[in-house]
Amino acid sequence: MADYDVIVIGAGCGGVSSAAILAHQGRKVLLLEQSANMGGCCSTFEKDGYHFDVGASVVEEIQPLEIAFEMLGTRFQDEVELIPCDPMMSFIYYDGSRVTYPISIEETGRVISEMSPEDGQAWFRFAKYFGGMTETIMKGFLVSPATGIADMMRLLVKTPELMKYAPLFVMSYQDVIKKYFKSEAVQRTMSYQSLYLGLPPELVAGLFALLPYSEHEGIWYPRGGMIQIPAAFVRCGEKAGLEVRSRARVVQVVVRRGRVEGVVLEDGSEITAPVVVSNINAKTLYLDLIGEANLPWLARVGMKSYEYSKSVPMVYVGLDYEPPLEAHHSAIAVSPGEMSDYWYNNAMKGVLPDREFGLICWPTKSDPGLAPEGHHVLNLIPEGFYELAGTDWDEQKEPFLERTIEYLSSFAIPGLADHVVVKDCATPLDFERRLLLPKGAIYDLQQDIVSQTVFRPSARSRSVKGLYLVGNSTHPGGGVPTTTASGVIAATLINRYER
Amino acid sequence: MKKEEEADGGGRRCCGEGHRCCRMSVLVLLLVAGAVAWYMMQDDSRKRYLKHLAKQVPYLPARYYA
Repeated sequence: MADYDVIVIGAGCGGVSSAAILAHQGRKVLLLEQSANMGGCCSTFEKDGYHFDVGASVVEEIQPLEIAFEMLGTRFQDEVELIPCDPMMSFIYYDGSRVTYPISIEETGRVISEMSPEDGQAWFRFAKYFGGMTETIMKGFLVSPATGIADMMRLLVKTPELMKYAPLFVMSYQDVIKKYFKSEAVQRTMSYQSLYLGLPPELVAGLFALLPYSEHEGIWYPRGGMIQIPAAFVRCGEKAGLEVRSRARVVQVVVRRGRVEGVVLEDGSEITAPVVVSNINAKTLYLDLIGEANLPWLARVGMKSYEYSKSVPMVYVGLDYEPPLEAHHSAIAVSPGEMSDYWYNNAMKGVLPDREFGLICWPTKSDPGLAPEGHHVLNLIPEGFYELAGTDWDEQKEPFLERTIEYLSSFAIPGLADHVVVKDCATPLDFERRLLLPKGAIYDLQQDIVSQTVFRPSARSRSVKGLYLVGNSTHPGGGVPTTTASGVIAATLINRYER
Repeated sequence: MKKEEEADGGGRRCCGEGHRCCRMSVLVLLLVAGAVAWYMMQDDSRKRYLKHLAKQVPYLPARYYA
């Protein structure tokens, strides 16, 4: 008799959503989290009265979250107070000028027309095309299993419109942006989002050019910080009997005769269950926790072939003034060419750039309660990478923190350096140590089309019976709604195959 | 007599298969040449994108079983 029906390793959004749903469906579920906090990258921490989000900064495309909470017998909006973020994003050019896109497609078209009338018209064609694609994807792609060719065939039968977008597989993100938009000023507002996939625009498949559009479907911030989303899942799960243990690190997944039998914790104790759901990096799971000896050779080759996604350093600052910004999100406006230069000359060579770019998150614009009255919080996400030539992040952490603040003060956020009350930095090494993300890879495995759907580690393991994967490592990939979708998929598959 | 027929028939089969084989080889060569010509016409950026995908293609069967 096993100790539990299901053990879930890791309390990221995929882990907590699958654990809560399975508990709600009447299974005896144990959720194990190695750190003291829930949520993984979708979490919030407090320092001297200021609340900072660890990684994820907003939520968009919320349908998977709505489906997950419906499966728990409640509504997402009833469990988490969502604050709409409008404008969608502000773009800051290196000369200090800026342009801000509202959520509204029409208003954004007007703003783009002011920069380039031709591109203003192109924006409406772009929005119509990718609006159709987003709708198609939301019809079921995100929450449908992609464990094999049969699943993909079912998906195509269910949504044949997907074939309409096949040409986007042989075009790059950059090709698509340049096809629609001719003005470099406009291209600079459409390029940064490719880094959500961990690659520059010229290496990302054209279908992901939907990203600059998709945020216009709406973005929200959970009141109280991003932690509120995983916390709501845990709360719903606990009501249904979910047991949660934090500071419980799994060091081995026990596999005998090709079937999972439980896990071993760092203290040597073994907990048994016929089903294990893993929310950790798939390479770590298969190659370290299960061990190569327990894998067929083809699975070993496949697993080793995956590359890790990019990492980033995060800078957290508490301020005693209102930063001169326009939106919850601002990005330094970079051209596709500059991003390629950065990729080949900095990221690939381990050399930090002189001219940084990245994302500026201003959560207190949406939720002032995250800081003392009149004060504000910024989470700065400059670009960075795990390996540094001739040095390491422990050595570079403090200088990088100071340099980033000084640099952004110089053109993007005037006055910033004079108003910092609290500051902290999480480097790629910190992410590796705290969140157990190998090489600090915030999206686990690279997310290009050759690592997607059936070519991403399967939600239902093909090598080990009773093992299921959720989170960034499996379909549909990295992000809060997508990892939640993976939790829905795993719960669905477990109900189908593990009665 | 029978042996001669078998030999003839065998010879014809072999010749027919060989002919089909030749046609297939020509077709494959034309396809490859077409793909190479198309690739050569692409700009450097598109070439880097295609190379990035192509170098991962050999792993796809293994990834399917991962």
